[in-house]
Amino acid sequence: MDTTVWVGASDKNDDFHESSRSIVDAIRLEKSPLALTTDFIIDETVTILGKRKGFGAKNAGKVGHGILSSPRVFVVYIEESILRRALERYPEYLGELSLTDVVSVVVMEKFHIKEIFSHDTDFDKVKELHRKVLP
Amino acid sequence: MAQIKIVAPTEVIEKFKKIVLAKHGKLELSVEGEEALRLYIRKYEYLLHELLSPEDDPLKEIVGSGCSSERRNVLKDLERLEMGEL
Repeated sequence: MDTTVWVGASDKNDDFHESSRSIVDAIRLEKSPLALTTDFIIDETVTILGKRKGFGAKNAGKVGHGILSSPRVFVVYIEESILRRALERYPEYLGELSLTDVVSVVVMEKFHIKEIFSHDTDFDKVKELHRKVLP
Repeated sequence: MAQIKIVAPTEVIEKFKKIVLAKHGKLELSVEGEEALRLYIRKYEYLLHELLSPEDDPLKEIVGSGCSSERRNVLKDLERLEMGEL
């Protein structure tokens, strides 16, 4: 589960709110499999939401806590071997994928996950992944 | 080795342990490693609704939990974040 979905689902005034909320609702209602995300993604999510006027840092923090607390979301904490692997693979994408994106790719590879919920078309450059914007 | 942290109420964790113990008579997740944990998760995910209902899942509170004062686009904000402009 990528940053675009967490941010989009949380903020009613985001361009991707409707598709994102349908993804999060599907996971909550068990119409989609359990979600996996990383601490890097939570970092991006809370940082972006916290900067948005009208949304606010307090609310952004609650979103972070909510992700961490859901039993239907498994959070992978990035440790050195994953980060080193991501740094090795980072040049493959010529800087078009952020390091956070490449970390997600490495985590998905590690856990044999082929589908990513994201609105970021940069992930289409990763041949082994199938990007989805709806559940 | 990657770490997976599962945050859940104590009673949920206890129920999970009881389920695994009842099924297998042992609980050795640290020995069996992350692949085993992944398989456990997949195998027993159907039990989740008995442990914490969707209505009580914190994800419900996340959806639409705030509203920016102006229209936003997360992809543009991600670009700004990467450029250090956010």
